[in-house]
Amino acid sequence: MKKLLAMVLAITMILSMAACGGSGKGNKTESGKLDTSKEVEVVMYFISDRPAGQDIIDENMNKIFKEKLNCTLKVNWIPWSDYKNTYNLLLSSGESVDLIYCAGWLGYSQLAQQGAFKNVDELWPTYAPENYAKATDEAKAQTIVDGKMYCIPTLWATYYGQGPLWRTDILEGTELEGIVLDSFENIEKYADFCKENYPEILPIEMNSNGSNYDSMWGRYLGLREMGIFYYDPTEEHPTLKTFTELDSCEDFLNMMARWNEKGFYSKSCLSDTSGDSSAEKGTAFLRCHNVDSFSGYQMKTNLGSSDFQWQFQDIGKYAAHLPFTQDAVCVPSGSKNPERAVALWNLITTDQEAYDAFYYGIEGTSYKLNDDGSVTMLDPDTYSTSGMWTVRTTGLTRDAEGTPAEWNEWHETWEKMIKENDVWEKYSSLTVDTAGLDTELANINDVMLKYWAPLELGLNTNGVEGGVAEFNEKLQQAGVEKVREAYQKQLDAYVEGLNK
Amino acid sequence: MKEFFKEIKKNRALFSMIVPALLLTIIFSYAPMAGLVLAFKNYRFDLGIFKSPFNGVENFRFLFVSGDGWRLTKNTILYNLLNLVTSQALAVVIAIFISEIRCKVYKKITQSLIFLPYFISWVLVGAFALAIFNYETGLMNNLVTAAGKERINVYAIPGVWPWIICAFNAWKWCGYNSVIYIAAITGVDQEIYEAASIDGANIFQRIRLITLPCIRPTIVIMLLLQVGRILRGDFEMFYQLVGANGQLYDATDVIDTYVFRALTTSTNLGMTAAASLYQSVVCFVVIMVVNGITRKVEEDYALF
Amino acid sequence: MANNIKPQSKIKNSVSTSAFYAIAYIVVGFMALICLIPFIIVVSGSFTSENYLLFHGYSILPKEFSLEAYKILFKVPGTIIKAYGVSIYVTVVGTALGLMITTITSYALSRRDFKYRSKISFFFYFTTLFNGGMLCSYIFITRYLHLRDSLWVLILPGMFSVFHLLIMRSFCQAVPFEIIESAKIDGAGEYRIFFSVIMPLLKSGMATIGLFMALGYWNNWYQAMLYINDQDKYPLQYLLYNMLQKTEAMQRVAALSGIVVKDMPKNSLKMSMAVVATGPILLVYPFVQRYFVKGITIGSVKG
Repeated sequence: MKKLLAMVLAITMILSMAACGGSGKGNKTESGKLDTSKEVEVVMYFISDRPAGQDIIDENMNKIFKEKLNCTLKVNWIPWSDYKNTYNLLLSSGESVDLIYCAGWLGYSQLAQQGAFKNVDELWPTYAPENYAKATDEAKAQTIVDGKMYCIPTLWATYYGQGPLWRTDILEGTELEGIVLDSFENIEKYADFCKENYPEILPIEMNSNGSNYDSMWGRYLGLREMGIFYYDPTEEHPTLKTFTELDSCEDFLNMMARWNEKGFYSKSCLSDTSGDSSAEKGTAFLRCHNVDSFSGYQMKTNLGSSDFQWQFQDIGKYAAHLPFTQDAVCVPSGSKNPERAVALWNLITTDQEAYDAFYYGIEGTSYKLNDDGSVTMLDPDTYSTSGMWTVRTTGLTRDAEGTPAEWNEWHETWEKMIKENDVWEKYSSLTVDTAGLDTELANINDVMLKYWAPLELGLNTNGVEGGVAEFNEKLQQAGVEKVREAYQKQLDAYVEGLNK
Repeated sequence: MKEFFKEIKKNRALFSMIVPALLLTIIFSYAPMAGLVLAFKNYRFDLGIFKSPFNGVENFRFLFVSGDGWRLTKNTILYNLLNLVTSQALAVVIAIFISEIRCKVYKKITQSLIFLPYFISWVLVGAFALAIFNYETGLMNNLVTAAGKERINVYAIPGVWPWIICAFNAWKWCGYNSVIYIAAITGVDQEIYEAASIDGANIFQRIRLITLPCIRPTIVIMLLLQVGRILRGDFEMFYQLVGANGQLYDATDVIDTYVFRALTTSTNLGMTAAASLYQSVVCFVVIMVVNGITRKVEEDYALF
Repeated sequence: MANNIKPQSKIKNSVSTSAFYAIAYIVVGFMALICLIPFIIVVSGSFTSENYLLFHGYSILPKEFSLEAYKILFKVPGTIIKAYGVSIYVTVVGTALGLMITTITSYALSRRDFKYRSKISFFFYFTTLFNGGMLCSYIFITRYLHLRDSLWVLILPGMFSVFHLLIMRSFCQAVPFEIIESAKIDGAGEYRIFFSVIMPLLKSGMATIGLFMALGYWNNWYQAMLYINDQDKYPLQYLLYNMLQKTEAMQRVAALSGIVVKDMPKNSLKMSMAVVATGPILLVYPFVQRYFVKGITIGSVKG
């Protein structure tokens, strides 16, 4: 048997060396002027499903690209069903990809640290100068991983803005008509009202995706988050605290326990894996989410495919931009034409004609422009706006028909808030470096889901106090102090940089 | 070695029979095995599998650092043993019953129906489970309240979940597994049964003395195959039935669900590989021992 | 004395025999029922309006009849028919080849006079314990075997499974070795022995393994997800999986992309997908079942 084992091992080794050797080699880029004499094909990957009528859209936009940059764009679509499995595989396989969608939620900084992308310190300003000029310093700072930039972020401003999103049509003619849910008391009042008048329906949407109420509470108090920690940006030297270390933690947990007691959401909600938005479907009245969801729901009503009326309120004390790396484009390390790819990106994000052709398609076929400047997608079964969201650019992107006025109002409000008070915004360029903490973060992630999720919803069986004690103990075991120490150092260094 | 080639020469025909399977195994299973080395590496995309730097056992730490590794290992093994015994026992009983049933139509129809759960994905099973056990609107609690009793929050009682999961598992795989046993019973030489009935054997003697011994090799193989997966869990099943319900994890967590949860926000390929390698090694040790014992008792029944 | 006992025990026997049959019929019937009801709920749910499902849950008979889910599935009938074609092709070719390879290999490994049988079995079995993960397979298949977008990538990797091999081997072991020996004495070659003597005895085993293989091929969408980009080569299960994920994703991004997506009847869609995917393979089952109903008489083959 031993001999056989040895043989098996030997065969495996030999075959494997042959099979899996060699992956993407990083070829050096030389700076200089873009040479467009040779026609090239730029390969782009992003996550979305290919619409049925995409062929003519591709043809149309490539005509423009050919004329302006002597290149064509080949778009490969990673279907939504597959990205969890195939995204990393694609980057590791060494296939030649020139541009790929990336984002914080896809693990941008970790991937960059692991060498998945080319450094764009030179590529970006050299070959995409207009795009580079448009990007804010804040956005540029956010792309930095270990001292270098690895992505081109979106030029589209988005905002921290989370809060209740609730049905108003059920309030008409009642004493609660016109109520604004800008505090947790009002949310409770609203839910009480629903419970009383519609006892059959659980008022608050909640499922296995967990709640956001803890981070909403933090925002309500004006705290910013860093990983699982919270800090008060108004302090001169902010310190990181876990949620349970906040003074008001007990109030929050007691409130949630009371909500659970009152039956605002299902006691079995954490086992509901259906992934449905019950508020959107009408089996709940209130959901905690963002202004984009609000816009989507209300747009449906405005265009006549739903009867529900919606309202949204940001519950946060301060406003700030979301990191611009929330949507980004990267040049994978296996790219063969990085210069042209970046130049093409520049074209699409700064030239309205190229942008329209890429994002909306062909006027009259896939979209039409309305008199008020908004755009209507024609035949959404066949065509769609591009799934490459990074391309959205303030100034080039048009409003969609039926967008509720409040959507724009909110954006203006936030922009004004940021201008008036940058207490949150000045921390926006703080990025988290997780290097060397993988083990602890994995364990903390587990503790959060296992102990915090039920505790937060008031579902755990041994009460608030017992639950908190257990949670803290597990968090310690998972190595929270090591993470805190590392993060605090990064935060301190950032604060020091601010004061310079 | 020399002996080996001599044997090949002697048994040319038999050896040639296994060549296609050997080739497929080598190409699709052995060739990619280099991936195992990832468990000991700090993977870098630009360097690839072989050039990425080694980082010792760092990747394994997350399994054990908070002391959860042993609990998970124990849970996984207990679940597998429980599922193994219940699902195989149910399948054997059903298979024997079905093959004893004389009414052909009844036999055929029931046999087909028992196969149906195999086609219902865990996603749907999970949705049904929620529809049964849901605290507010579940079928069970509707019955309970109709009977004038207090509602039961099944999703807060960890103790019952091993049984619920095991019941769903046995239900889903009963048809599939029983087909194997039915086929084995069908493969028994009919002359033996005829001879037995001439000798006046009753139905119990027939099952005990003919059917069971004849399907014993199949039962043993099925058990051994399951034992070889003792540290692996059906992620879909656990996930769809339990969801993100932390209260139940103490009773329902297996290695696969833990790894999924811990690494949801991570792109660390090394840690995934490490968890899988740990499962492999434990399975390897267990199956070597169990197979060794089986070989001692009855050589033909062993896996290898 | 002895004469007296016999009739008595016979009566006792017949009572307990009837009891046995009664229990057998009841247990099997009950089991069949709890397997059938959820399936009926799935079928009925697929014909129920989404709103009804959301507010009232599942029921045995469709309360608010609706074909909405099926309309969505068959909106572009061409794609789904193509996908059926791919699935059927992959299943038939894969099962035929795989069954042949598995049976013949397991027969060779079951032969007591095959000296290295246990070591070779181990060589096969080892691959179920250790695997190199997706990354290496992916690189190997796409960069070296160039199988991306080839239907063979759906067929080859699943063609040989150690689980099937070992189950099949246990069926082969049930065949008395004397049959092989006597055939050998008659001067038959190894292949002849296998095809004309052994194979007929393995019918029920082959039916089982064939069924499992066919189910495996039919349900496999994973391979397609990794290696098939060409939409014309999507097998059915992958197409359905893809559709479901797409409707979820589309709703998620509707607001961002500025298009209004019609509400997808997600719950009934899931169920209609189960029905559409299960249908054809259920038709195969009775065909396979023929081999389970009647037992084999080895004597007739021997003679």
